Amino acid sequence: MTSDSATTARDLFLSNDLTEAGAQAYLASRGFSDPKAADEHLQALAQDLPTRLALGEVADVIIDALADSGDPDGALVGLTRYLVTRAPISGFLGYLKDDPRAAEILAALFGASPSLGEVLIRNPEFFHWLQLSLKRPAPDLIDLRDALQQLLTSDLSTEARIEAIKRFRRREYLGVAARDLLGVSDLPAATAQLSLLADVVIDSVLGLLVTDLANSQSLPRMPGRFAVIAMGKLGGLELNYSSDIDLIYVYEPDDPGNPAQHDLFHKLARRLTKALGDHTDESYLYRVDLRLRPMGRHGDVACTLKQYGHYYDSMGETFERFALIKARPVAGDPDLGAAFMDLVLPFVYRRYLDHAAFEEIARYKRRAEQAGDGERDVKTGRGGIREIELFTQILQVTYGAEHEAARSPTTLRALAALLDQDIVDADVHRQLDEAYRFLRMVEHRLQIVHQSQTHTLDAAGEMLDLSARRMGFASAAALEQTLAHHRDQVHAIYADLLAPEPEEEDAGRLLFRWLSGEISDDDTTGYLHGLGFRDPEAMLNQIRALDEVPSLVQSRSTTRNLLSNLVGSVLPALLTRAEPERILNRLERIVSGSGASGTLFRTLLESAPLRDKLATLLDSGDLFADRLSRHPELLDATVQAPPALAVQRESWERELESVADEAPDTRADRVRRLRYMEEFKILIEWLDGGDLAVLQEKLSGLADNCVSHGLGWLLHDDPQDDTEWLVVAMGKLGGLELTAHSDLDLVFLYRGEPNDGALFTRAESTVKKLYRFLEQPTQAGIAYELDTRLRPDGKKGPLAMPLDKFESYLAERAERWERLAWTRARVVTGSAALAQDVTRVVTDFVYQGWDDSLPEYARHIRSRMENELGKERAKKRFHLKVGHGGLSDIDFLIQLLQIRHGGESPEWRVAGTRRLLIDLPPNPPLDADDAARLREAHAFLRTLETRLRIEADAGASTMSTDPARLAVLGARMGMPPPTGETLKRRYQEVTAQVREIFDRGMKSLGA
Amino acid sequence: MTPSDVMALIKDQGIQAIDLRFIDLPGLWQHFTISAKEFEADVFEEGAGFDGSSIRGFQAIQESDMLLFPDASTAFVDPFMEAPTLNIICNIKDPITGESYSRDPRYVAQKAEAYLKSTGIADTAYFGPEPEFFIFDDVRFGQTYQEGFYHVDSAEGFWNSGRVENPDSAGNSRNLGYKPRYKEGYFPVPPMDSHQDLRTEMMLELEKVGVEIEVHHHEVGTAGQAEIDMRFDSLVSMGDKLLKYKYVVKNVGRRHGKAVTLMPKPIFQDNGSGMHVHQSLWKNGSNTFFEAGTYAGLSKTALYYIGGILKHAPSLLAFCNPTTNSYRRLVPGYEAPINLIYSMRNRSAAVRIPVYSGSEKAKRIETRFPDPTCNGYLAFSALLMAGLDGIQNKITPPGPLDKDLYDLPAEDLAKIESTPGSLEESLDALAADHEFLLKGDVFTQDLVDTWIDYKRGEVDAIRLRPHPWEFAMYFDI
Repeated sequence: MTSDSATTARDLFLSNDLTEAGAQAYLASRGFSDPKAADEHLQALAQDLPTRLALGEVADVIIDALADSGDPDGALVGLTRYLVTRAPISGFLGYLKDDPRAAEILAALFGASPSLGEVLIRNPEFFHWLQLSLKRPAPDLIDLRDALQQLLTSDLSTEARIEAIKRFRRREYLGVAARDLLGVSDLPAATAQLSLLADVVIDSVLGLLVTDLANSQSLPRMPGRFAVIAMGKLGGLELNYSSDIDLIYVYEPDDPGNPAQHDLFHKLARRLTKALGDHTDESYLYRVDLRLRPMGRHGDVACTLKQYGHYYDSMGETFERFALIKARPVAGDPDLGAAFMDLVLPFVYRRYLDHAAFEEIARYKRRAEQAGDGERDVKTGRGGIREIELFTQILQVTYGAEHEAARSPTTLRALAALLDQDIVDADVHRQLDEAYRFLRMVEHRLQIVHQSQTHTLDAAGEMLDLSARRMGFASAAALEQTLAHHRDQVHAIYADLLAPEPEEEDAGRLLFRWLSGEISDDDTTGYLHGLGFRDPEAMLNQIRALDEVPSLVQSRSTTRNLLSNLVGSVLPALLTRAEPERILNRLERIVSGSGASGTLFRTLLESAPLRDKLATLLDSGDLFADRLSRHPELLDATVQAPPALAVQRESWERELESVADEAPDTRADRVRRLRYMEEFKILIEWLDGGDLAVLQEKLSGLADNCVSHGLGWLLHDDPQDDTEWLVVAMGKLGGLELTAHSDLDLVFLYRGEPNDGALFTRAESTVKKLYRFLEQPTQAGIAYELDTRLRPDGKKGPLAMPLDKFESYLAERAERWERLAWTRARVVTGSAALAQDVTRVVTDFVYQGWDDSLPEYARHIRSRMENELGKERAKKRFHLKVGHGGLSDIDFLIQLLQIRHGGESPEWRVAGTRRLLIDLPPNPPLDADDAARLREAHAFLRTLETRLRIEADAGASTMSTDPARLAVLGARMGMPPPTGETLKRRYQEVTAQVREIFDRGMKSLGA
Repeated sequence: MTPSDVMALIKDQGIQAIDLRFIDLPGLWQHFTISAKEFEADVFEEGAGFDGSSIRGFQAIQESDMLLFPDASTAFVDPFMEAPTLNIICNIKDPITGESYSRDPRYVAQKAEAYLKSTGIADTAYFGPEPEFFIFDDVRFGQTYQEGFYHVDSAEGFWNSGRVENPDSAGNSRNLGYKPRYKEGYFPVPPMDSHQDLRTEMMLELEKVGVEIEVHHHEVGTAGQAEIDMRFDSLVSMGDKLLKYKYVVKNVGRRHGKAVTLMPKPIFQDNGSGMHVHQSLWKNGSNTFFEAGTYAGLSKTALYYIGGILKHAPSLLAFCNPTTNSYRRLVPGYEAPINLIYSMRNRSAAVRIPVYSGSEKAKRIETRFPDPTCNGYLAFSALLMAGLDGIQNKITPPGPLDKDLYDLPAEDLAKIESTPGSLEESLDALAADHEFLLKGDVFTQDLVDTWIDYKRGEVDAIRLRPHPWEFAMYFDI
């Protein structure tokens, strides 16, 4: 009998007529490419008659299964080697006959993967486990953990248990592969199963080593926590049969100051790496790659959270951000793993564009395009897996900050999330999803062959055909065609993502390229000019200066990228600001002071409110720039919600109480810090749309606090000193109208024998000390400037005065204008009894009865102030305080009214114009409208004054009359354009109105 | 020997210096020495640091720090150093992660042994290499811009039969003859064999350092070609012994004012030095290569093993014959094993089945193409991997040819495939066929790539230089 359609598989063993040639022809017809070898292998099985008979019986089943496998020749070799392990063969053959599915499973495994075949040959019994396992759903994490625990009986040595884990891992691989090859699981499921298996394996090995290591140190447990973070494919639940596992280790010792604990965790890390990667009689578990750890090869094998935080903050590179997208805690302490994830999240997902990342990706792309042999590599080649991953990761990094769903470490899930968020369209998603599945399948099938890291389709025709068949394609050509189709689509999408979009030039990117020397100054100024900046050259100079601030902690390119983003993102907002260049200039001062430009840029980038706030602050003048350059920590304060005064006062109390027992220098510093920090916050609160009254009350309250503590400490330091003191505030502080750069008008009174010289000397000395305490500059600046000229006898008078003398002074020597000044007296601190006495004395003095000459006198003084101090015309300026219709007009008028009516009506006895104007008691000359107008004018002038002071960071009260020079201030005051003109007009209107009311009021008072 | 044994030995034998040794990628032993006073037992646990950046084939400069971990079981007292010195062979590890260094050839060999066990095919692979070498009296060579030459000489060299030797006081020559004729060094007794005492001394020194020697003899070549055969041993252990062997024969030669070279073809026209490698796989104490009553007593396993070696031979040569000089040996004639077949008796076959004895214990196969310029750890591992690939895939070798292949008519010979003719071809073959080496991660892709790059550098170095014989052929053109 020769080879014809009548030949059956059975004949191979049982026909007497079948010639060798006939048998080979038959086998060739069933798809064996080396039928001679195939026939020899089959015949070699038939060692004796019972075996031959059994083989004949089951030959159909076997040959059919082999013919259907990806590689009939290879499958046959594997199967025959396996059968030899199942002595007596005839028994097992009977089993195959009864269960054709068994032969199918075997042929599929041996045909697809010689390496998994070796596992079966090495452990023939796994086959029955496999059959059972295929009838159940794929094991989940808990199943795997339980199964593994059962294997690890406690009387084995650690080495023996690790060997058992290796056998377990191999067995489970077999299960995953069988499901995969038989189509029970799809690709994402198979890779997820492999990943979960790795999780469980790593965790168990770690558990064993932890116990061992603690025992070896005679410790009840490890002194701290340890966790394993997976990145790469394991992190993405995308593990292949032969992927490396990318791991990094994090630990937290109980006592971070104890070097031995660090050593111990490093040792644990090394042991874990070794246990996973060591080649032993049971082979190895995983190829571990630790190079994604901080500093790569040179970095410590394990790091603490703090180290990671510092590293990613200061030295993290773009590629590390991409890598961390796929980070996932897989073993060890879960809380620590979660803490790690929280830590890296802001590093990976930033709320701003990332030019350095784009540049790096562009480089990557160029390199990929230049690589010629990339064609055959499904991973790194053109249109390969890497391009899909990069495409996804670029979008993840870009949008992950806003879209939490887009942060999945798993490529397919991330793609789906990007679709959900409308970041990619349905077509792109479909093409990438399909291509990814296909390419991973190809890679997967290539790797399953030998569990090696192959990504290249073998170019040799025979091998390619074999590869194609293993993947279920009829021929190599069919495989190539599908492959080419997917690659083209992927590459087109990938290239498109990175293509420049000229019409949508991103400002940050442009600046980055300009700073990197890729774009000329002219082009850049042209661009800024086009946006509407009036002085683009100045802008560029400032940006350049910012770029040149040396950073101590970050790389130049990191800092430059952050800077470009920052400036790019604020350009539109800067256009609306009064002085964009000076904002940048002031920013430069802050940055230079901080020493960590990149960190500051990043902070600003990550908070739009902070960015806006800072722009507002810096646009308001030098004050904030100055404060921030000296106290960079104040930046946080800019976006904190301001507490109410009462709350704030409590915290000031607490803060100052806390240094009560410290050395005087410490207290002095603390008071200064408190003043700057709090003043800063208060000013911001106001700039943010707060009420000026709140600003004034808070600043006044803060000053009260500092003064009273200062005095309190001085007295506290000298237990002998039991002097009864009173501090009285006058002027703005007295009227609770303090603003930026206001002096404190203070008067110091005590109770004591007027003739007690020693007491007097000590009292003056105490006041001097308080002066020094508040006024002396330290490295933290000065606390307050004091002004005690309002004290009895003015500049030449004693610094402190006993009550009796004070009383007689007011009664006998006080000038008439002092009645006006003392309307604003307010007790700041001191003895309550003394306060009562002083208040009585002052009230008696101020409200002692009307003096008809007073209005005329006041008018005279007021006019001298206007001419001799204001000098508005001569100096071409407006003087907000003493100028025509200035604050003094309001103050004088109101104070006279107080004195006029306060004798009979105590409701007039309120310290301070502002407070009184809130609810001005009815009085003949001024009606409610006038009161409202004065209130508005007062607020307007005080606002203007505060603005001026913030701008100049000095105690100024004058402004130019030149509209051009008022433009910026006008803009800050919210004047409609032309801002300078409008402000000037408004000022003149307001002051004219004030003067009109002042004149009218004075006249009605009899002046 | 354990670490504590080593420490005791240092004390008992008054050792003053500890010499730590490891192998570079091409295969040369490297060393540095620690004073015994400084050497503490924790070196076995903690390692000793060194800079790997200038070691051939190792790390780039920016990644230079590495650790040596002495393998206590390899300690031996040095036979040559003046002060009592203990040599210990080391493994190389990363100083931070403690991972074994993937380019450490000894680690490759350790992984190969582990992989063998993990396959279940066998538990032990025995290797018995037979290195050959020349013993010269004078070696000179040089190449500059306008000159290139080499010159070797030996009192044994047959070319010296006519020269004036040992002149007496009157200046009369006292040449005593007895120089082995070309290709006739194998193996007349003294006085023709003038190196008997020297080889015996080498043998005895080798035995002292733990290398068991079975036989030594003069080899075919004139001018002092020699062979000393070691008793087989397991893979890693034999890798260690091959290094001891080279160390001892070179230094005993030096002791007597001789220069020993293991380069395969130092002499034009006479035999080159090879290193046949005998191999067998054992499982549970039995030889898996033996099966009574078959051709040459070989089991199927052995045949498939041979099948694997023959299939991958072109690629294997890149590790087994890794120098440009190797291919001056692998030319027809000179008993060069260039034909990719196996045979019981024929010595031109790449694989031979020795038939000195039919017993199970002695059953082995002999791969004949390797030469002693190879890195033993890598070459043995590659051979094992090729053989295992043959077993796993049941690769049947072409049938045995027991005719004398040199008498084959040309057209028959043409059908027999032969080994690559140059290092470049071998490297090309390795680049195309190394999947079998990567199984079980025994070789890494990085190691294979590094090896190919490194060796292509040697190919280029020769390509750049004019050869004297080119002047003979072309100068007048």
